[in-house]
Amino acid sequence: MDDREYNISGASRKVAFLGIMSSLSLVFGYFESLLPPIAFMPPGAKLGLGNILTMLTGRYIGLPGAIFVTLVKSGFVFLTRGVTAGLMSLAGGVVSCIVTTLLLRKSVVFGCTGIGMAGGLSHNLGQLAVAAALTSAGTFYYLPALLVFGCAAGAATGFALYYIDRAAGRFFNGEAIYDR
Amino acid sequence: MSAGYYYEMKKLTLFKKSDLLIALAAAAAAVFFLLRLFVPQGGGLTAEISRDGKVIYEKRLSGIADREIYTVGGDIVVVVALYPDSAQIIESQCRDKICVNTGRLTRAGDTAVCLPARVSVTLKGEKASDEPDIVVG
Repeated sequence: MDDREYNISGASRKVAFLGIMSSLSLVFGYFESLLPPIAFMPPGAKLGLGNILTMLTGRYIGLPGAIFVTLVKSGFVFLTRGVTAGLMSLAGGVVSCIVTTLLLRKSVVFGCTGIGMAGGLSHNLGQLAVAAALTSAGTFYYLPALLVFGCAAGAATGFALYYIDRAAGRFFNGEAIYDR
Repeated sequence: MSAGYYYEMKKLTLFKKSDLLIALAAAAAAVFFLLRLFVPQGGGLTAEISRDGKVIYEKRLSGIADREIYTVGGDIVVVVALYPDSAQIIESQCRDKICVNTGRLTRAGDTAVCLPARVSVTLKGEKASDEPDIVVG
C-alpha cells in the first residue's frame, strides 16, 4: 500500500471516475448503435463495449459504482430506444455487472478473458430472460447463437479490460498524475 | 487522506486455464440447445400466436387446406401465414423486419418474434406443449 499523501480526496476521485465512466458508457452505446447488425445474429447482439466500463468501475470503485454506471447506460437506452430496449439493457447490465464485479474482486480463479466471457454470457442471459417475460418462452430459440456470441464478445471485452487496466492501474496508484 | 483507502488491488491476468472451462461450458450448452432444435418431431403441429405474452390465436396446422392468413392488429400490424406444414410471418410494419427474415417455421419449437410489436409465432408439437424450454434463474 502506498503511504503517499494524496492531494485529492478519495471521494473526489470516485466522483470524477464515475463521471468519466458514465459519460463514456453513453458514447460507447451510441457508437455501438452505429455499427451494422451482425449477420445471423439475433436482434440486439452487440459487442458489449459498455461492459468494459462497468468492469473497470467494479474493480476500482466497487459494486455500487458499477451499478450506477449501468443505470446511467440503461437510462440512456430508455430515453433513446424505448421501454422494451431499456428494460432489456437494464436486466442484462445489472446481472453482468454483479457477476463481473464479484469475479474481479472476490475470486482469483479466472483471468480477464474468462471474466469478460462470464460478463458477456450473463448479460445475454439476463436480456433473454426479460425478452422471454415480455413475449413468450419461445424466445429461447435464440439461445445457442447468444451463447456463442456472448462468449466471443465477452472474450474481446476481457482482453480490452486487461490492457486498459494496465494503463489505468498506473493512474490509480498515483504514478500518472501525482509523481511529478 | 488515509493511505488505506484503496483496497489491495490484485493483479489481473490476461488468461487462465480455467477460462477455458467457461468457454467449454457455453459451447456445450450451445450445442445442446442447437441439437434440441433439430430433433425431428412427428405428429401434428399447432401454431400459437401471442401478443404481450398472451396467446391470442391457436390453430392446428393439419386442419389447414392450403393457406390461412392471420393478421395481428395493434400499433404495429403483423401478418402471419399458416400452411399445412409450416407457418411464417410474411409482413410486419416494424422497422428491422427480423421476424419476416426468420423465414418459415417448420419444426416444433421454431419461433419467429417481432419484439417491436411484441408478437411471437411458435410451432408446438403434440406433446409437452406447455413446458418451457429452459428456465434461467
